[in-house]
Amino acid sequence: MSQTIVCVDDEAGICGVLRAVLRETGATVETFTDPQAALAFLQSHDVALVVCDYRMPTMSGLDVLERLPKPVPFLMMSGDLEIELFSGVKGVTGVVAKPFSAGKLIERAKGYLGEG
Amino acid sequence: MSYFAPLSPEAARQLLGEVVKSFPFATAVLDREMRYLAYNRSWLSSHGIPEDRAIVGLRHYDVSPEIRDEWRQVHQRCLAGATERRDDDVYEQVNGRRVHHRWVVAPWRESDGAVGGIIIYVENITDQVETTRNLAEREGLIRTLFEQCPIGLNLCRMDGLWIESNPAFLEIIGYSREEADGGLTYWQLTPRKYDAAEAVQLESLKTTRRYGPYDKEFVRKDGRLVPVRLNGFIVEHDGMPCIWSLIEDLTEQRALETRVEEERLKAIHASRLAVVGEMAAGVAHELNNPLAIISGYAFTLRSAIARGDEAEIKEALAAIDEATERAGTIVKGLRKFSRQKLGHAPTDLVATSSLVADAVNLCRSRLLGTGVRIESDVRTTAQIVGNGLELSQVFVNLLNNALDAVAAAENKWVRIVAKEGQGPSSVTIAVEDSGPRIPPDVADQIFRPFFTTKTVGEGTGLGLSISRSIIEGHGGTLTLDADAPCTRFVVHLQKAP
Repeated sequence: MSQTIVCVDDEAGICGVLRAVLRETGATVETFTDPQAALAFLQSHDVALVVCDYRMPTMSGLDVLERLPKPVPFLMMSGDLEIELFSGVKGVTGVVAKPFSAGKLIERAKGYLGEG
Repeated sequence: MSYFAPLSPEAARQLLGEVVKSFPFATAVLDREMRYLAYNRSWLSSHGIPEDRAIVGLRHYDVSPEIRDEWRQVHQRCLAGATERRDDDVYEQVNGRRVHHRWVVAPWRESDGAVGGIIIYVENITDQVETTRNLAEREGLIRTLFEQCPIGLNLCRMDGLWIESNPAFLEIIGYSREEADGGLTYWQLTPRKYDAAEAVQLESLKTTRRYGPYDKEFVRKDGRLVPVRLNGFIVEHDGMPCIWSLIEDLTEQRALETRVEEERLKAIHASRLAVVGEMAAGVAHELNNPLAIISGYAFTLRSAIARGDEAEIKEALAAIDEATERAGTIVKGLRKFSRQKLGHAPTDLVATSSLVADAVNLCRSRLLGTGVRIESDVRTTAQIVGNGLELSQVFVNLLNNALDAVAAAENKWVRIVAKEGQGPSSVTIAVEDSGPRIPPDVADQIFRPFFTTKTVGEGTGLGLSISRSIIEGHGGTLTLDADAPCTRFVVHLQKAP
């Protein structure tokens, strides 16, 4: 059974490109523009990786991280200039600076997709 | 032949007494033994002798034993036939007061030509001397003041001919005293362009006998124009009305004003750069999203092309198009904001609605992830004549301040409201926020340059002072509304006609 990657970004365009790019890992990609909906999904599904934007109008990436129902690899994504600061935050597995290299993101995502 | 009937000695003595009494200054007639024959009231008072004391027949030295030796010697010389006089004889009284006397001592002679005694006239001229000296001193003081005064002083006839000029004035116009006093006139040094203004000042002289403050220029001897401020009034001089003028050289003041204006424009630009810097982070975020979309789809396009998946290729290309256009819009907005337009006369026609919309859009990137609500409410279609760039800077600045102020508030909102002003030709734009109120003691200071409540590195402290300077430069006002229930900055601007 294929594994799932969850992407959260308030901007539909970013969700679209993440879906197109991460599909190439072979995983199922679920994207959410509403963080609440993403959290609800995580409540009932096992996922291999979360890629989440930091700046969103209703909830920040850190809010999402805090509310995760269970620990999961979490890539914080942002277009902010100080994005590297997030790499020190507990629970953040890695950071993705926008604009990102699609090839590298695929490689990194593959690293979290186990054999199972 | 004798003109006079012979007088008895008694009658002669009486007549002598009457004549002496009529003299306006202290007079005494004495015989060879220095005994009084006649004297008058001033003599008594000037010698400290009681008025009711009769001293005829008494010796002068017995009545006034304090008489100085030098006087006694004068008396002796005159009794020997000399006549002595002194026009200003000064001596210092015991109390230190200097007393001035004019006196004459002369012998009088018997019918046989022998000296019968002396006549002494003494006039106390202390008051006259002091008055003359005071006048001279005052005259000297006024002369010194005239010569040393750093303000130009000039006396001229009503027809403009110069009568007297002080060195400060000569320096302003660059002529020598000989040249200025040698027939130079006011009109020779006044450019023709001031004709109308001169007429106004002349009218003022006629009706109020004063003129000024009147700012004009003089043509210096070297041809240069020198800016001056004149004030003056009419005085009588040699029986005719003349004009005293005070002339200030405004060259340095004008240079200073220019420098201050240059500094103001520089500060406005510096503040604009600071605001641009603050926005850069937000703009980076805005730009990085479309860039991420473009680069991501560019990557997936390769495999989609390899697969020949036409639908996916179309989707990717459409997304790239859209993202590129969005990035372009952001860059355009930024360029509009930072373009140099320093010191341009405010002549753009700016719609209030676009002013508000631009400012809100430029700040929108800062809102993401902060939970701040921003509302704009435009209830006017008015346009404003001004520099659109500078005006946008003001409202971006006010909105940025508001966003900073609400960061820690529980209920976070920022509102910008534009509506018709109270007058028929004004527009009011208010920026309100739910942040903590500005304490009254701080309210007085917030418009001062370099005042800031933000931590070091976060604010330049120039925003509000520059903003106010920009709005005032447009003939408007920027104030803090102390009566509002929330923090509220109000801008009043004139509508375009």
